[in-house]
Amino acid sequence: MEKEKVLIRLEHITKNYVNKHHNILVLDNISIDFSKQKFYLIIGHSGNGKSTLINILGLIDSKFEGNYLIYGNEVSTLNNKDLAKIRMQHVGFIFQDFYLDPYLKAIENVLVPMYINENILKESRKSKAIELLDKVGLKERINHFPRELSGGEQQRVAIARALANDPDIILADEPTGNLDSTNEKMVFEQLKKLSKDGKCVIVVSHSDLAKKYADVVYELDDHKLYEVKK
Amino acid sequence: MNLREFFKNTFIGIFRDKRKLFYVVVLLICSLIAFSILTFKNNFDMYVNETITRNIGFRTLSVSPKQDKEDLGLSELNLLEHVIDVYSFQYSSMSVESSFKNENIEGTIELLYGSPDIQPNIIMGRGFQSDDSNVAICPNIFYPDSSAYELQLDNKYTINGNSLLNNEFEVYYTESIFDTDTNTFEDGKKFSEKFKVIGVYDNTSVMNFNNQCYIMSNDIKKMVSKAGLDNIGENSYPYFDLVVDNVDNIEEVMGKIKDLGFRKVSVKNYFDSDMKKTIEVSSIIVVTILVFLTIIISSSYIKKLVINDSWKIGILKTLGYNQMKVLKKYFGEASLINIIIYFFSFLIFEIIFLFLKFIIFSSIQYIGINIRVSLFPVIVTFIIIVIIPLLTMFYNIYKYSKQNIIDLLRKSDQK
Repeated sequence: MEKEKVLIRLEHITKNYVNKHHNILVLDNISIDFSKQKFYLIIGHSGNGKSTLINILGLIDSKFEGNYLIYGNEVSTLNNKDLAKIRMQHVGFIFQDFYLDPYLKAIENVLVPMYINENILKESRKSKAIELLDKVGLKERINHFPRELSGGEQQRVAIARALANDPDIILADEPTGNLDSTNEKMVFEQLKKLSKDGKCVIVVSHSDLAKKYADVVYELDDHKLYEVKK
Repeated sequence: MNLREFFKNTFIGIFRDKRKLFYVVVLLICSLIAFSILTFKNNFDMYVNETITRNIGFRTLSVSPKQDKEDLGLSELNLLEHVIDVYSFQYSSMSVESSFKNENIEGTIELLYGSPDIQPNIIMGRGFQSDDSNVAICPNIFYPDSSAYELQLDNKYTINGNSLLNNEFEVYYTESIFDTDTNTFEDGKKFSEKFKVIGVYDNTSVMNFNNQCYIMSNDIKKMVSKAGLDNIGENSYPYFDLVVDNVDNIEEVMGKIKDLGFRKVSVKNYFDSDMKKTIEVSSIIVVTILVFLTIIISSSYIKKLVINDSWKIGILKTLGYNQMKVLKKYFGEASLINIIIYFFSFLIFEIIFLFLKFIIFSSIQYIGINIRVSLFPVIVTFIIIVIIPLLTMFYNIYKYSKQNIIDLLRKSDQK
């Protein structure tokens, strides 16, 4: 893969969970590159480390061995403050449980990450939030609270929030786990669109539908990552 | 986030989140109670410490004379340490008519025994000097009418004491002659005296009535003698008024008087020190309970809020908020909420207080209790309602903001 297109590079990533009695290997010497404008799907059996891998990719788990580079810059050794900055600038995370603030309207949820981004002018925050919600098809629902939205709509708000600071990397951990098939399709279509718009989209999912949208499929098996031919 | 957004989001958060609204209401009530109790205690302390010590009556003893002594024991009493003056009770006061009389007010004044050592705090003009005579110190709100004794002043006819300064007034009194045949008092000669007002005092702070003026001891003795009021008659009970230099020396002087063999000694204006202690102890207990209650309520609410919302902290960190930004967000919101509660409760308290002061307390002020809000309850309530809850918030948020994101998000899964 040409170096200039590589956004994320993982080198010899190994992750163990340590408890009182055991040292449990989760990821074993994984080396892989991820590029922009691609939709990556990671599949595998439950409990085999997919979420762990995506947490490492999202820099919310920094306890691992190996090197993690973004745009060629090592990020695994950064302190918490710098890691937070990298997350703000480069990573948008989407969870299975949406994690929207129930006391904030859709637009207010999308504004939350913008408050700490000095590159977004205060005057343009609101219009940007509306634009993002429009992009995910929720322009008419900007003033609704999460409890007034369907599961699919809530997940789309979460997608808009993840895009608030225009990150290069979109990570989604079972984004359709709580959705019906109609909404599932809508969410994957959104994520595919994001990859076409230039983002590096990495999705962990059990869903068979996800394979239809993915450009590249990896399987996590026996602590290692293998590419699956589509 | 700019200030406007911050204020707006915090206000919105209070009304949207019923837990926060509940917290605000409960803390508001605690704050009002704190203001009320602390203001009461503070005013009570001020009343005891200021009014009691200023009122000459609280350091004046009534002493029954020694009938077996020619001077009734007067010289013995005068030699006691801490005794400023001793005089026969007839000279303590004298009610007279005055030149202030008109169609609207009677002109009745009560003249009180005074001297350089027995006078109130002067607020305008000057006090007595030892060589003074025919001078008077009058109230700043002067009402020369007998209805002053019932605290019923017609404000249209009160006289500003300051306007009396350096002016003269005249008093009129009549000799009282005891007719031994009829056993009655009859009017004799009429007398008048002029007095120049040299000073003005705040009569309410020493629990005096608005028609009570102090004159020099020699003047009142002269007038009482002229009026024959020191011929006490068979049915009167004579006693001395003995003025002590300081309230703190009362007990000591009373002990010494009893040691000298005087049978009856009592404080002229008795202040129930047991009641004082009871009120002090009760208010300290109530304030302490209130402080603990507020700490418990705010701490448990804040802790619960932070624990329940710890997943939100996880999300904020995922979105790029570092620990400092998380602390700023939560601590800033909590500060604003608690300060709003404090100021709002202070405003409500002030409105209620002023209402009560002018409707109910106005009469109390005439007997020396000057109800006011001072700095002490303002500061202490601020500590209880703002500082302590914020310290609790800071501790809990700091603890949770240090945790890793995965553990924080897991707490939502466990709910």
